[in-house]
Amino acid sequence: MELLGDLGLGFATALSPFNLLYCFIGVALGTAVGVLPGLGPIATIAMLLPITFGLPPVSSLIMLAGIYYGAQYGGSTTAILINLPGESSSVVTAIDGYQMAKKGRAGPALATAALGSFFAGTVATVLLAIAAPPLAEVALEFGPAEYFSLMVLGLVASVALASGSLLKAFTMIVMGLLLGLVGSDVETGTQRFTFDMPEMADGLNFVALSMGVFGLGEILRNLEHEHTRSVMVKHVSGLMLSKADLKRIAGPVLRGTGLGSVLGILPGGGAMLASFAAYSMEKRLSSNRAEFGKGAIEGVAAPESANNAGAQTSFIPMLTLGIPSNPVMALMIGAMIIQGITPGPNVVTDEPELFWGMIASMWVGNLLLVLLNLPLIGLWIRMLTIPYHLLFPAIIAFCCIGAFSVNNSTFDVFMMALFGLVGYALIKLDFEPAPLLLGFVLGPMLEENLRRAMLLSRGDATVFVTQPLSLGLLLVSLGLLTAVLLPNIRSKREEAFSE
Amino acid sequence: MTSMQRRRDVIGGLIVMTVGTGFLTVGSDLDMGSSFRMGPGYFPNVLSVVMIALGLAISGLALRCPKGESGSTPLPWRGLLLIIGAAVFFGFAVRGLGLAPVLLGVVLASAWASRYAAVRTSVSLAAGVAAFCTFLFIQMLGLPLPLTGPWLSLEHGSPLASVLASAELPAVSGPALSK
Repeated sequence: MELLGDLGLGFATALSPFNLLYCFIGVALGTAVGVLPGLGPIATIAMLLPITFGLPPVSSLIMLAGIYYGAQYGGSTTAILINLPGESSSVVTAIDGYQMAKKGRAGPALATAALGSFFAGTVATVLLAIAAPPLAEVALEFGPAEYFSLMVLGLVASVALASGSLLKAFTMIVMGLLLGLVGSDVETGTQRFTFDMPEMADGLNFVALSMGVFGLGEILRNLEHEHTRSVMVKHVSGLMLSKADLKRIAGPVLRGTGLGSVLGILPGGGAMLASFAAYSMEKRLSSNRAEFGKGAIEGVAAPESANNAGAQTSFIPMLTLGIPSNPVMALMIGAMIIQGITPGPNVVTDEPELFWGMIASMWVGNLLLVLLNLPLIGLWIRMLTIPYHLLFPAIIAFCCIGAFSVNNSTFDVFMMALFGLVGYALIKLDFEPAPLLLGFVLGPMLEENLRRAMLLSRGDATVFVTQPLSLGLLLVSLGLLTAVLLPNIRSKREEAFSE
Repeated sequence: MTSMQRRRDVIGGLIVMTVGTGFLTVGSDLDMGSSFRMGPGYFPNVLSVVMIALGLAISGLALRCPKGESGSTPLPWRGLLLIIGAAVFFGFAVRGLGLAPVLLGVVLASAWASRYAAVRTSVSLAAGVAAFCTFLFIQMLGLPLPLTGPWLSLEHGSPLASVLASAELPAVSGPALSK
């Protein structure tokens, strides 16, 4: 059993005291981020990227991954206790979770969320370990044409599955692609859009861009409707689930895990989509349909399992293909590149310790999260009450230092300030900034593969449709695109997102 | 679509077109190459044209909607100025003032962007953040930044020393010390 040997290596890596410490820091920070108001995993990972430069690649990626799935746990705590989802992926958890809390069943709700997440996390880890290596092997056979088409599919899917206007999501991707092209051209070394500034020769700083748009931009948005939060539930008791509860959540947890795992792999998917889909599915299937919206435990179990499963399986395309399926994965790719690792199918074979260590750390991290979230729930409740006006000045200070520390350059700090304005403008104009980051990361890769494919085919653009795999990928993209544009499905999609 | 959304999208589309045109103009002197051997200008120029088209579509669709009463939300100028200003201040002053003083400034300034800001909490927050960050980044992570920078130094020739000297404080630099 090769898999067992690989997983053994993974656990040996993940359980080394040093990595265990960083896994713990990651999930603890992730929970905190999920609980704290107005601070999301994207901004946090961007802020912490510079700190991880000094760490070995494995430890830094373990920690950053922990922040992402840890935030799914923390986000559900706020959703249940104060009806304010800490993360977008916990929006639906708030519907029934908060009703449960109001009825004095906050304990079982939190326990359901944590145990459902843990189960989902375990399954998703196994899935990742089984599915990723063969997928990477297939990807090794990919030529530039296949890669180009795959990235097109990724970008199209992220638009199709995003909420809001399609036109605007496309615009954000194109803008991201353009911003990604700033700097020296890979092939000719020509300076593009650098305005002869030496600081721009290596391209726009990824950390400065994401911290500006997602850190400062978000803060400016949050300050517009600032309000204090009140916590109704001060003490949570009865964390144990009754037998009847366990029976009720078994089905939803299983279905949520399955659906979440599949949706997480899809480009553009991830935790948020998974939780929405799982909730609406459970609402149709459940025998307790009438109770939904009034505190049904199934309404907590399904989305919470799904978002954790989705958060974890969204690592599959990132680790095997080097293609991000959501902004957080885009940041992880950025972190890998900064650490000197080329993301792509080679990671499995060239960096087995990193690959398997990360997978094993996810299971370890999920276990840590259950321990952190259930017995220590009182701590997180206290954290809930930290007011935002004490939080955001510290975030700004962190962002400034972070942007500076990447290249020890004040230029990047100015860049961050500029992108803070850009991010705020985008939010004000109702452009969702997430696809911008995907485009930014994929821009150079997309161009490189396009140019290589055209060179190999001697300028014949039909190469993208004559190669069967590439054609298949493009057809799927086209299918997705027409599907979301059809009026029938379009109205359903809007309905799904407004639910 | 309300009239506010209509106005917002018309403006948004115009901005998108402007950005696209900007990229097209700056990128116009890049070598296009051929579709066989694409030059550095090929992909960016194609994307710029797509961007302009998208902008046109966004504005166009918005203009097709009927006009209603116009309303607008005021921009939070205070927050924008303080927060973006704090980051710019950090960029300008961090090497000169050093990390600790510049962080005090950044936190104090940005704290006032909130409507709940109060003097006492802001000051203690600033002190806390500055202490924590200087410890973490300079002590633990070895960020090459001084705790307090040359602008605050009293050594001969530094800006502060010359300000003090011109204010006729002979104790700092004077013939009496050189002997």
